[in-house]
Amino acid sequence: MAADGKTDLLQGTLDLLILKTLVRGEMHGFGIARRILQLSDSVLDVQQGSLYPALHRLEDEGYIAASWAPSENNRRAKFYRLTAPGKRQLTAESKSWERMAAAITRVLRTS
Amino acid sequence: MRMLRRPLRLFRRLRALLGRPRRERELEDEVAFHLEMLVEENLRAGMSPAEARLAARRAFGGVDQVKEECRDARGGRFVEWLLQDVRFGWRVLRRSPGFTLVAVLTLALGIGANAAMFGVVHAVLLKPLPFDRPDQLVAINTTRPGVPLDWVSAPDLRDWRSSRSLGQIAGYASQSVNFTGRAEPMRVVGMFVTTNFFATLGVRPSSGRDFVAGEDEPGAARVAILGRSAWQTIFGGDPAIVGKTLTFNGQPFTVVGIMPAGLPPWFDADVYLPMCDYPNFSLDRAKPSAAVVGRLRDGVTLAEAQAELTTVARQLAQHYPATNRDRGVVLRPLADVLVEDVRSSLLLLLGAVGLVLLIACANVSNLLLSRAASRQRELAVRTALGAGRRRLVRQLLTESLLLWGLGALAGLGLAGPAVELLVGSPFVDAGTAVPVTDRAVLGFTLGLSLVTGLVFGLLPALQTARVDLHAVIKESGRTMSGARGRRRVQSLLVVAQVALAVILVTGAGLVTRSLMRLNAVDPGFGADHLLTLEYRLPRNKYPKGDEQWNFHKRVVERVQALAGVRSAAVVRALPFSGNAAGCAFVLTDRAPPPAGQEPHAELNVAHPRYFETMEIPILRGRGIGDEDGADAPPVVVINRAMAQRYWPDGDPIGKTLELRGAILDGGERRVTIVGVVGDIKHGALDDPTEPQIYTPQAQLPFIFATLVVRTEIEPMALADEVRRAVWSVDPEQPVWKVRTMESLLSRSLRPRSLTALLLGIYSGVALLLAALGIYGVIAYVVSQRTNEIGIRMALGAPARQIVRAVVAQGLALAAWGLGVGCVGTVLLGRIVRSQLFGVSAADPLTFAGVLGLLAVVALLASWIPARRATRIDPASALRAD
Repeated sequence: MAADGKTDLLQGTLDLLILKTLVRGEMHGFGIARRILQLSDSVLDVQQGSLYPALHRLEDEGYIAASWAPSENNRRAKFYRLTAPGKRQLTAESKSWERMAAAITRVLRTS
Repeated sequence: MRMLRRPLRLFRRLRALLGRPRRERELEDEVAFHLEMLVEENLRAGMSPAEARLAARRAFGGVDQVKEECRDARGGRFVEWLLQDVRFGWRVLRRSPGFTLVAVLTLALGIGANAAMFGVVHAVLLKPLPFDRPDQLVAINTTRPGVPLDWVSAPDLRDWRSSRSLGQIAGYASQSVNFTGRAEPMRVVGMFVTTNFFATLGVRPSSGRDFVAGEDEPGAARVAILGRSAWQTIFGGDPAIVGKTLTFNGQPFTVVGIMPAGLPPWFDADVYLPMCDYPNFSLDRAKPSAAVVGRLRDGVTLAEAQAELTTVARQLAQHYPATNRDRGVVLRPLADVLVEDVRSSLLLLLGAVGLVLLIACANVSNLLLSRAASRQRELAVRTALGAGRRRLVRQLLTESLLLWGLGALAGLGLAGPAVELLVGSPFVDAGTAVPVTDRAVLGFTLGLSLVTGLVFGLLPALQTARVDLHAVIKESGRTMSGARGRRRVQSLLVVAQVALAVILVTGAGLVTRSLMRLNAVDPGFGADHLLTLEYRLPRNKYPKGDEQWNFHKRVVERVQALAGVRSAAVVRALPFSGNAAGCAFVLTDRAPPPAGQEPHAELNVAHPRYFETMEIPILRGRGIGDEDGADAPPVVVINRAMAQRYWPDGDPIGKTLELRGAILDGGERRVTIVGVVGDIKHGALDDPTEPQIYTPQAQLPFIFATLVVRTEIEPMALADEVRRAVWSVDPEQPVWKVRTMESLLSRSLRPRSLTALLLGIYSGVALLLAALGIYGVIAYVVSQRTNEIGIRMALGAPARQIVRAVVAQGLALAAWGLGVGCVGTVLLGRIVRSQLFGVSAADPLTFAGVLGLLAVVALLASWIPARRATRIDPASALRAD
């Protein structure tokens, strides 16, 4: 777990980003990565080594569900979609993120 | 955590390898898809295909590493949590060793008793017979009016052999055999068999050869096969014994084979000899002489075989009306026949230990609930730190399962020695292997522990995990919400415990009362100070009846002369020895019944001193006298039951009877009644009293005899002298079964005594556990009401009033349990009925006893915490809150 210091910190955030991305509909892993990159103006380039474990964990926890379907280029791909608990989790996580971000910002401003 | 990582990885990799090929394939596909998308992207950016693939690879990173982490992410938490739960649970259990010890011991008792009992049931009832395709084996008996299960005559057996539904039909008959030609004459267990006997069962001699066809025909060379244990004990396991000649029943037999170990006791013998050498062998259709076992052909059902043989029996009845007119046939699975005596007892006991386990589980469940009170704070803290309810329930359930697992381990430890105690008892033949580490027994035990652990662990876990944070924190953990719900569950558990205990105690009470009733039954003779032994004269040495009678007479004279002997006699079938004979009879002073419907009587053949020796009273006329010799007019003595049934008002003395039956060599004999004696129990103490007829031994001599000696001193002290007295008549004559009449009587009660003893032990445990249950609940109630009781005492309530209120609660629980238990007992009464004698399943005395016993137990169990309640110091009780 030594090298995981960074990922651990990011883990909650990545989960949040994945859940948020899926609000607009089902998507495969590649699509999710590209979409996060696009929405973040190419700042957040999610590595596969983090993305897929996160997807599998979220699926295991029941926040997202997966099914196999043909992709836009007609290949078989695994599509993920948000579940009801996932939506609830997203709301809760977003709130706590906003709170935290606001708090950190406040702290940073008062120096 | 770090320490656990490697085993976890290993576990997951194993699971991935073994159980999840689909998921692995999907992971593979998913990664491949991503790579392809990257390649396409690169191609669109203008790279060459080779470049595009390489760049995609580089961008993706370590494919295997990603896969590995995906596997980790999936399900890994479950295992981690499980291990965490187990370790945490272990810590919790170790922190309260007293509680853990009590719970584990309680469960060990319950689970151990079940493992032991199931081990026995498995070994005796469930394990298939150690034969080839044992479910094809059937026991075949003939029937005739009044005799539901008779043996089969040799000609009938031969005629059945043409059956299409049975591939093999073999006859066998067990009888003791005189083995001579060595230092001391010996009696060995013999089995006389048709040559296809072992082939029918599907076993072969382990060395030498099987019998071959024709060897059971009179005149064939005499051959024998030795049983395993005799080969080892008598012949020291000498393989060279095959081919040697040994003397059995005075005839030379060549040993041709040795059987392997492991034959069921039913078929086990020291020596197997051809059927034609069976002393009772007969070619007369009127004389059934063998038990029969058959093997169904492949695909044939028992019903089809039964139908076919019934048809054959009907044809035989037409061809041979004199002997076969009323003879039917009945087929039963062999496996059922071998265990029919013990089946109901064993199942009853298995049911009983099942109840004990339920009570034990309810008890531990209750203990867990009580502990919930003290753990409320800990759980509240964990909830506050973010543990969900499901997580808490799982933690608590894991703790329970740990307890049950420890209980199962300890229980298996107890079961081993417990089973040993039962081997050699009436339920388990000596030498039967009852391994509690057998896969079936282990599986049963673990399954039982898991199921009961889940059910009885979930109940308290659900209750306990119902944490109301605010309430706990507000009330500073002193008294808690959810307490009422918990108390209701606890009360329910206690009611169930008491109800189950009532069922067990009532069952034990009924069986014990039956045993007492049986013990009080007068067998009709003086059973104390009687020594008995058996012997069988070799027919070739004593071929004539008067030679046989002379031998018996001389034995009695020699024994009679011994110091310490009051009286001695020989008889053909001693009561409670398992030997018995019967005959049909016709009264000549009235119209004969239709042929085939003649009444039956127990027939015994007795020495003149038999009644005196046995202390059977002569009620009318005379007993058998020395004057009733072979040439004197044939006479009989009958018992009181027969006299009363047929001459209720008149005098049977001087009336004549016609006796018929195999014992008379199929002939008829007209006899005169000269006396009436008292009724005796012959087979068992719970037998109804049937007509009994005694004929003088001189008039119906036989090679087999039982010597019975009334002694002035302890009977076994004379055993050697009596044995030597027999040998003084013929030093080559083996004698066996030297034992006292009292041992025979108590042996006849052994299955019942054992059932009563085991049920008694179980119900004692059940009562104790139920008492602990009541105690636990009441103690808990008192602890909950400390405050209220304190106030009441402060306001001047007398201690007696408080005790009464608390005890009333305990008694109310017991009353509910008693009510439910009584209903259960009535519903289950049918099961125990077969074990009862002279007591109805609704015996009021037993029920009253159970009521009283339970009242006392409930009173005690609730009085102790009630007393403690009155010692509450009002001041501190009030301050505590």
